[in-house]
Order: sequence, then structure tokens, then C-alpha cells
Amino acid sequence: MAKLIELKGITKSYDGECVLNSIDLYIRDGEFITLLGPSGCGKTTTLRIIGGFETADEGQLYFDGAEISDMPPYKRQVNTVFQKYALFPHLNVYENIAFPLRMKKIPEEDIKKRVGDMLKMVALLGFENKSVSTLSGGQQQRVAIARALVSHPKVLLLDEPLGALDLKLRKDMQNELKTIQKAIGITFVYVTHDQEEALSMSDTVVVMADGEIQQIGTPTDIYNEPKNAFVADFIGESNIIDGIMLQDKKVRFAGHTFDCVDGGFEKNEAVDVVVRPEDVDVVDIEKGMLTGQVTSVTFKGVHYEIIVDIKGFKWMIQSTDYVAPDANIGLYIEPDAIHIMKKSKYSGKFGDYSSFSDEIDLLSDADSAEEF
Amino acid sequence: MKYTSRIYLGIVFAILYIPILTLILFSFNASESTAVFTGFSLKWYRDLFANPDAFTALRNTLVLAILSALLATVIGTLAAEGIYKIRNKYIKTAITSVTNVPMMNPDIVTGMSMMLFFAAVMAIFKIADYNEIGFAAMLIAHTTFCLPYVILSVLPRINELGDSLSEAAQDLGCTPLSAFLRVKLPNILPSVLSGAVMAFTLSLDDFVISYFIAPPNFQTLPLLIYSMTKKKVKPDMYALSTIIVVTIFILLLISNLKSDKKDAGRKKKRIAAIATAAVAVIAVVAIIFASFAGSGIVASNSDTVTLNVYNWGEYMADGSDSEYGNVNAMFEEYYYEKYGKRIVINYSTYATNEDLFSKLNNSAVSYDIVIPSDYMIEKLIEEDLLLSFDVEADIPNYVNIDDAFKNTYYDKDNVYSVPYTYGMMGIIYNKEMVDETDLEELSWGILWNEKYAGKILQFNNPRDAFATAMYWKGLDVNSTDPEVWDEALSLLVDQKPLLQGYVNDEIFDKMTSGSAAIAPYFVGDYITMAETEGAPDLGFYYPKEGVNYFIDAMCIPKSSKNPEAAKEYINFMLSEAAAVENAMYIGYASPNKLVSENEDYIDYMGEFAIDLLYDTMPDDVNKAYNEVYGTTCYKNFTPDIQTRVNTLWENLKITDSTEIWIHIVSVLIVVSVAGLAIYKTYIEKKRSRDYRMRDKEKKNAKSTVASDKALNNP
Amino acid sequence: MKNKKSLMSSIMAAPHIFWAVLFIVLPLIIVVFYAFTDANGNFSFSNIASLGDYAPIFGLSLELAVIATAICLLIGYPLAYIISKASPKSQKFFMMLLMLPMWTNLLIRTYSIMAILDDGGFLNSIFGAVFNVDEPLFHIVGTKGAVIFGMVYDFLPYMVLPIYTCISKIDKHMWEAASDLGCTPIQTLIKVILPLSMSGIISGVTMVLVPSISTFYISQKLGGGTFEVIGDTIERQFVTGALNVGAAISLIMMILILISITVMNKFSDEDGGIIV
Repeated sequence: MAKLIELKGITKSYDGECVLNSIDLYIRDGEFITLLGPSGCGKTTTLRIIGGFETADEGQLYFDGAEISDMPPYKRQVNTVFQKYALFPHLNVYENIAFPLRMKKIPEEDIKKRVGDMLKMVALLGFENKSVSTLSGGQQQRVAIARALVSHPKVLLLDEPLGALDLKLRKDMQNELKTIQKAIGITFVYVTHDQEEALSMSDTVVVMADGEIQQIGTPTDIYNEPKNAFVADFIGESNIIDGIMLQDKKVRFAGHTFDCVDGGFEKNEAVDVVVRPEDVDVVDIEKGMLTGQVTSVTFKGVHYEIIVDIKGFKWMIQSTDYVAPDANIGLYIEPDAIHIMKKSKYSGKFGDYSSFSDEIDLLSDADSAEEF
Repeated sequence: MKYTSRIYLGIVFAILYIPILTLILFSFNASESTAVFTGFSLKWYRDLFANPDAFTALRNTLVLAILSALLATVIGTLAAEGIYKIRNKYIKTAITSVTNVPMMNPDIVTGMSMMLFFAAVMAIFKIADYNEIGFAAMLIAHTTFCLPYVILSVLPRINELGDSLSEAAQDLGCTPLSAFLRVKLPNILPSVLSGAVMAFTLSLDDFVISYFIAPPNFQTLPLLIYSMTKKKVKPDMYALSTIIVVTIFILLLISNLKSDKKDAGRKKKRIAAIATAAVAVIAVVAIIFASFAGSGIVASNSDTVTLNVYNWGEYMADGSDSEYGNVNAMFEEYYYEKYGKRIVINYSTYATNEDLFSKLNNSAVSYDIVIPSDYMIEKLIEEDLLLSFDVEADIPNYVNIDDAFKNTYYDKDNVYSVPYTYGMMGIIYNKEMVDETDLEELSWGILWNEKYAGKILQFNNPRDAFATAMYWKGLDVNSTDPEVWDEALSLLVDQKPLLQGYVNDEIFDKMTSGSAAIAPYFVGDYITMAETEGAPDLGFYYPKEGVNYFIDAMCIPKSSKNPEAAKEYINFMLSEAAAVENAMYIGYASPNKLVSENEDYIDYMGEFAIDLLYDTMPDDVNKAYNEVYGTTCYKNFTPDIQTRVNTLWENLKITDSTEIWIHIVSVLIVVSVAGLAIYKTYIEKKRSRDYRMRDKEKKNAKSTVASDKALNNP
Repeated sequence: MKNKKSLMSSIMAAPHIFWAVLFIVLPLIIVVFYAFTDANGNFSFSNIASLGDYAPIFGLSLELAVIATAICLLIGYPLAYIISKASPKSQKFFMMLLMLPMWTNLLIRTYSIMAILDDGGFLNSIFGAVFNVDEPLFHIVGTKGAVIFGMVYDFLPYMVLPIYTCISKIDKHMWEAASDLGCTPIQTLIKVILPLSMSGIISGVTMVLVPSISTFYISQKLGGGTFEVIGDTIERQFVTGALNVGAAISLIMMILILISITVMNKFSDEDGGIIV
């Protein structure tokens, strides 16, 4: 697939505060790409720069090979679904969707057909004459999508479009969006802070933090091979422990030397070790590679979430078997469950469950608080 | 785009501010002119601070604004909560629509309705003097027109807040009332305050409604300004406006700076806010107290006598000009010394004899002193509106009056009136603008000279305006023949296109600024105009066809509450000191022998003026008609003729040749707005009809719907 | 509970309802009474019948007010639009600048316009000095144009304020959405912002039209007294004591204005109404 959009060294700051620091990114034609990150990471700003609502301080933006850094939004072949939809309250459903076509002075007959097609696609036939303010959140969402797609843009930008919907509706709309994207085959650039949403919908995920891209990859890559402590922590649950790479495929952490599958580090290099909670097996104390004391157990439906104190570091373990609190247990880790990362500025900030709370929930709360 | 925006803003704000900046500039003018800047001076500020009327008016305005804003805020806030709680939609709509009436209605209608209402109240409760309820009336009227703005400010906030807060409070043990006071009120406070500020501002600025209902003893600043702008605005009013604008500007600037420095810390912000509020409050309080102290009285003092004096504009040295004394203040002092009692003069003004008559005849306001002209005195006597008293016995200084002005035709037995001034009407002209050859005829006809089209002024009252035409054509100004009046009207209709305007006291400004070339007016006023600093060279003549000769005299209306004090006042006005001061200020001839023989006065007026005022005047008023210049006095009309003249005058005012462009432009606007609205409605209707047709098609094709579902639920 | 609630509400609204009936409704009833009686208090249609004579004055007042309102809208809308697009700090400053003249009394403002525009006024004396002519170059005061100018000058802030409030309340995403969907800035203004600010326009138009129709001070000062508008007529009747005819004219004026406000509110959408 060809590069459709390319960002080169995009830098942006507000009031001297840098929100985007030299972003390089390309987006291929027809892919579903998600910009994922906590509030303030610069994902929305990146989207707005692509949409043309902001101009970058430095760097260039290319569309289909041509630079469009200073092109106003109305000239770009890019349309946006806004977070709160931004439907025009003075127009009804039909006129909202017909709006971009009227701007292009398309004949009335074509408008009728294309708006009809769109209404059919978003399942809102029969709603033409309704005022947009009488629609439910989900319906407004569909109108916004139809309006953005009716003029056949090459790229659709979606700025947390599901943020205002409840959980059930959100799941439905995720499927629907993915279906629509497949059906019309254009590029979707999707902004969210919800990692689950990002993993389930995207072809490519771009994890951002502090105005920088942390990692670009497919959802599986991102989950299995996080590049640094931030990504490991932000995507799913992780135990991140300081370790030392003794040699290729030998790593020492938590007072024990493990076999692993990674290599390419210097001898005795300090590294971050990621172990996903579901990859740790609970075994008898004498069979365990590590031993520790259970401090809390929470029933989660599919599994138990067990916090184990191993030499002062709290691990999270997910197990289908019940373990009693305060019990001493042994833990066993397969070599391919151990992922080694180079040290980064995020090392030591994440991955300890001693103050057990869900950072991701906190982050997403903060995110939504800021947005509204 | 940005550049053009900036230019646009610049132009609009420049136009908006040019008048205000000129006003500020001319408040520092050394001369009285509002057109030519002659030099820097603080004279007008000194005048302003020396003018007790301005301070009383300012105090009244502030007191009224604060009280009515308070009242409106309390009633309005309670009402907003009440309206919110009313469930019945129709009652709710009814209440809100009635509430909004004073907001939608033109002020002039609200003013009119209020005035009629209070007149009815007085009739029902048999209140004789409007002054007694005047302040209450003002307060009620101001509160009424402020109410909708308070409700409009508070109601949306209450709607937004909903019930949950007060429900929570009641759940936690509050009664509904304490829930409102302790929980709801603090939350709606910002909108309550902004409603209060709005009410305060509206009351402060109101002119129209106050104009209709203000009693003579409670003048507000806008009313004072109105009575001043009737004639010539002296720059002291500019000075006052400058002070107000600059104060407001500084307050706004402080509050702006305060919010700009938001990041500099909350503490600083709070201090700035408190400081601003404190400065504002102190300023207001200081002004109120200063003015109380300045006027030397406390309003509630029952020993204080109030005297309502109703006079022509600029017809008494009332302290509004620092060059002259204040005879009213002099009298207040004199009265206190003599009786040990405080007396306060309420001084208000009218523009025509007819205005005075309608005020005395229709309104229930009681006046103690009025100064009408001869024929109007005759009419007032006829209508039994004047108090009769033994002038010679009650007014010791009456001996100062020249005998020629006693036993006049309108008051043969000297029991109603004491002459105040006398004079004649004539033509005032601008020597630079009028050709000498046109002056040779000494005729009224110059007012019809097409050469001066657009530069001629005419009286803005029927009696004098008709008289100019009638003298010119040798018609009897007291004619009882309706056809004579019709003939005069046709002359005035012919004259109308040549006029710059119908004016009363505005003539001072128009002539002294050189805006107009020729105007008929009274000799005393001509002298005042000619003396005005910066005025062009003005000339005056008595037209040879005859002119109006008049005497204005002090009378006591029957409705007077204090006839004894009124007599004391009249007597004082005949004393040498007061009479000379007045004569110098007014510029008309005085019937007081002490004045015409006073050396200072003769010096001050100069030979030309004395000659014009006295020597060309007849010696004996009653024999004077048709002797010198063929002068005639006005006499009272019969009711038929009065109605006739009023109707003709109204016709003259209504007849208008509206420029055609007014019609074209306004029709164009209306048509294009209506066209646009109709076009938009049409397009919307047409389009929505189209979708409905699509709906039907869709329902017919059920298979499509099925495939939709397949697509949407994969 | 329910009873108690409605009791509470009626107590709270009671002073206002009392006030409104006594001081709003009753005075209007008295106006109607006066309009249908003669000077002696007898029932009469003569006041209403005589209104025909005032038709030209009504017409002229309406025409002048319509033109002044249209000019206010043409000047005020771009002004409100530009201000609402400025930075928050400048917005505050510009609105302050706009409101400040309102603190100078309307009479003084009007008078100072007259002093500037008069034949012997500031404007003519400056231009006279520059071009060295004695004759006034501009004859403005005493024309209907001067009255229209006075109305525009005095009432412009009433137009700008509601429109500005309305535009600045429009979600910023509306602008972006319009631009995103292919509107140039001008198209955004016409197709999106203008319809969305309709309620502001309606209330601005009302707030300018009503005082313009009924003014008497502006026309007296700037019109030179050679023609009358309906406000002058009412004022003259008030001064000369012809209260019955004055009441009849007031009544008709009130009815006309209330009708036109209702019609205008119909055109603004349901959410329109009067925003001050």
C-alpha cells in the first residue's frame, strides 16, 4: 500500500509548551490507523494538523506526495468526525449530510442519491426530516459519519468519536465503523485513549506519549513486543521488573536467572523485563522459580487477579485457580513469556502493583475530564 | 482578512468615539462654544462643582438607581424561582409575557401609561400634590422596567440548576425556604448580581420614562440634561459626562487588568477585586454624602419649606453659570436668616406658555411660582388657576416696579401678577451671512427669502410662529376669524421648505455657532447671544410691520402649598440685588426701577443694549399698542380659535415632503427581507417534500430495507 | 407535598404577580381607557378615528426606523463577527469599548453629534478651515439622513451585543466542521454561522427597531423640528395635554410593535426568543 499521508518532523507548541516534538509518521492508503495515548500526548493535535485545523510550527505534511502543510481544511480531501459530532443544529438530518455536496455545487439529483446511499449505509433511512437535536447520541454519531463520508474523502479522521457513548453502544459502533471502513476501503485515522478499542479495530496502532511517538506497529506487535515501559504498561497489564542481561537468552531478575528468547544486548546490560500477568503460572512453592506471599486476591469472573509480594516488588498474576491470601506460593515463567526491553526514560515508573490501582482507568478518567 | 478586519474595527470605533472625544475636548474649552476650541480651561469643571442642581440631580439619580435595582432584584429573583416552580404551562407563559411587556414596549408608551396610571391613583386617593407621591412613582416605574431584565438574567440559571440541589438540601434537613436561601441563592448569585447591575444601569440612563412621570421635586440627571440641551448645552454638562465616562473607563480597565493577571495568583486577584469594589462603593457613597452636605439639608427635615418654581428656560440666575450669582441660593439664605427656617427651591423649566398651561391645567403638580406671559396670565385667570392677592400690600418691594407696568390689560387691578421682565420680538441675523440690502426693508419678509433657504429658523410653538406670518402680512394676531388663521397657515406652509428647523431655545446654539443665518426671537435673548464668546457678529432689528410686545410676570398658582413663602420669594426677586443679578443674566428689560437706574447694570449691558431694550420701548404699556413699531400684545384665544390654531399647527407639522429615497430604500429593505424569508421557507418546504416522497418509495421497496439490515448487522 | 410546593412557588412569585398586575397591566388598561374616551371622560371613537391623520407620521417613523435598523445590522453583524473571532483578551477589550459610550447619556451623545454635524459645527469648521471656505460644506443636521445617523449611532451597541453573544456561544467545532466539509471562510459565515446566529439577529433587530420607532429626542435634535416622527407627536401631545389622542397613538404603536415582534420571533427558530 502506498503512503497517502506523510508527516515529517511535525513540531507544535502552545504558549511555549511543546505538545508535538518532531513527529515522523506515514499513513498508508486504505488502512485503519489509530493514534493511541493518554490525555495530552498530542494525538488530537496530530489529527487536527492532518485535518488542517492547526498548522504545525515546524515540519511538513504531505498528501499523496504533495505538500499540504498550509492548505486550508476546505481544500483538503480529508474529512473529520468530531468528538461531539458538530452537527449543524439549524439543518435537519438530510441537509446536514447534503451540506458538503451543496458546497461542491453538485446537482440536486446526485445529492439526493448520494445522501440516500449514506443514510442507507448508516441505517437512518426515514430520519431525513428529523432535527438533529432530537436524535440520540448514537444516531447523531451516524449522521456525523455519513456527513463526513458523503463527499468521498480519501481519508476520514475520527477524533474520539465514541467517547460520549455508553459501553454497549460503543461496542456496536466499533464493529460498525470497522465494517464501514472495509466496505468503502478508505483510510481511517482514529484517535482514542482506549487501548482495547485501538487493539480491536486497527490495522496499525501508533502509541504516543509526551508529544512523541513511542511505538508504531500492528496490535499484536504492540502487545507482545512493547518497545518500552510506557507502552508495556499502557497496553494491557504488565509486571515490569529491573533486570540484568547476563548474556543472550539469559536474564537475571527478582533474584533468579531465567532463560528467555531475546538477545542482542550487551553483557550485563541493565534492562526492563516485562512479564504479562496471564503468563505467570502458580505452582507449589518448591517447584517455583520465584516464591512470594499473596497479599490480595480479587475475583474477576474469568480469572482471579492475585497480587504477590516477591522480595518487596508486587507482581500481578492472573490465574484461574484460587489461592488463599497470605499463602506462600511458587511462580513459574516460560522463557517465551519473558520480554526484554532496553532502558528508557519511562523505566521504573510503571509496572509495580504495590499501590494497586488501575492506572489506565485513571488516565482515561483524566482524559475525559479534560475533553469535556 | 485580518488586516481588513482591523481597518473595519478601527473605522467603526473611530466613528463611535469621535463624538465622545469631542465632548471631552470641549469640556476643557475656554469659551462656551461647542464648535470652536478657543483654549484650555477648567472653568466648566469649576462651574459643575458649583452647580447645586447638578449635584442634587446626581444624588437623586444614584439613590433612585440603587433603590430600584435593589427592589427589582429582590422581587425579580423571587419571581424567577416562583416562575420556575410553576408547572402549568399556560400560567407560566402568561406571567412571562406580561413580565416582558415593559421590555418590548417602547419607553414612550410605558412612560405614558405610567403617567396616566399615577394621575388615576391621585384622583382615586384624593392626593392633591404630585410631589407627595412623585418619588414613589419614580421608584415604581423604574423598578417595573428593570424587573424583566432581572428575571431574564436569573431565570435561565435557575432552569439550568434544576431541582437536584434544593432537593438534596431538603433531604439534609432544610425547609424549602432555607433550601432556597442557603443552597440555591449562592449558586445563582452571579446571575442575580448581573441582573442587579443591569437594572442599575438601566435606571441610571433612563430618560424617556422619567420624563413622563418625574415630579418637580425629584429631577434626575438625564432630565436635567434634557432641560439643558433644550437651549444651549454648556460645556459643564460635557464636563459631567467626561467625569462619568472616565470613571467608568478606569473601573472597567481595572477589572480587565485584574482578570488578565489571573495567573499572577488568586490572592492578588482578590485584592484587586476588593479594591475595585471598594473604590466604586466609596465613590458612590462619597458623592451621595457630599451632595447631602452640599445642599445643606436633610430631606426628611420637617421644618424645611419647599418652594416649587416653574420658569422659562434660562430665565433666572440659578447658579448654572458661574459668571452670575444664584438668586435662588440668595433667597434660601435670606429666608433662613429672616425666619430661622430652611427653604429649598425646586427649580424647573418649560419652553412655551402653552406647555405651562397644560402642566397647570392637567397635572396635579403643585407649583408655588410661575412666570407666564401676559395673554397666558389672562387665560390662567379665566380658568381660575391663579391665586389672587393684594399685591401692593403683600409685596412691599412692589413700589420698585415702574408704574407703566401696573394695571395692565390682563391684570387691571394688580391682584394676580408682579411684572418680571418685558420685551419685544424681532429678527436676529448673522451679519456675515446676510446681505445688507436684504436688511434695508426691516421686514418679517426676510424669513421667507429664498436666498437663505436652509438657514432660516422659525419658532417651534404655534402662537409665535403664526404671529411672524401675521405681522408680516398685517393680519391681526388675535383674530377670531378662522380664515385669517388659514391664510397664515398657508404662509407657514410656503415657508417650511426654506427652514432649517423649528426651534425654541435651540436657537441659542444655532445662531451662536453660525449654523443658521436668520431667526425670529426675543430681544433679551439676542443680547445674550451677541455677548456669547466666540459667537459670530449678530444683528437685530424690530420689523417695521409690527412686533409682539410682551410682559412676563410672576404669579402664584392656586395649587400653591406655600403662598406666603411664594410672596416672600416674589418680594425678594424685586429687591435690587436679586433683580439686577437676574436682569444681567437674562438680558431682557426689567420693569424694576432699581434695575434700570443701577449703574453697574447700565455699565454691564452697554449703550447699545440699553438703547435696544429701553429706549425703543413704549413708555406706557396700556397705551403702547400700535405706537412704536406698531407693537401689539397677544391676547387670550377663544376656545374655538385655540382648537383651530392647534389643529392648523399640527397639520403644518405633519405635512411633510419625505424625500423619495426614504421610501425607496425602506421598501427595498422590507421587500428583500421578506423575499429572503419567503425564498428560504419555499426551499425548505420543497426539499422536505422531496424526502417525504423518498420515504414512500422506500416503504414500497421492502427488499431494500432488508438489505440495509444485512449491511448494518454483519 | 405537591400542594406545599405549589404554595411555596405562588408565595415566591406573588410579589411579582401583584406588581405586574398593578404596574404593568393596569396602566395599559388605563391607556386603552384614555384612547377610547374624550377629554371629559365620555366614551368616544374620535381619537381612534383621528389616527388616520397621523398615518404619514407613522409611515415616516417606520421607514426611518427600518433603514436605521438595516444599517445597524449591516454594520453591527460584521463587527460582532470580527470581535467574536478575536482573542479572548481583545474580545473583552472591544466589548468594553463598545459598551462605554452607553454610559454617556443618550441625550448628551445625541447633542454632541449635533454639535459636530451642525452647519456651524465642528466638522464644518474644520473642513471650512482646511478648504478655506465660509459656507458650510455639509448640511446634515435637519435632514432625515441625520436622524438615521443618530439612531444608528445611539443604538448600534444594542445590535452588536446580542449578535456577539450568540456568535460566541456557537461551538468552535461548527466552524471547523464547516471548513472540513468544504466551506471557504465566507461560505462558513453565510451557510453556518449566519443561520446559527439568527436568534441574536432577531433580538438585535428588535432592540434597535423599537427605540428607533419611538424616539423623539434624536429627531428633535438632529431633524431640526421640520418633520415629526411618532415619538415627537406623542411627546407634543403629552406636553400640550392632549392625552387622549396621545394614548390612542401609543396604543396603536404598542399593538403594531407587539405584532411585529411576534412575527419576527416566528421566523427565528423555536430556540429564538429574545436574548438580551
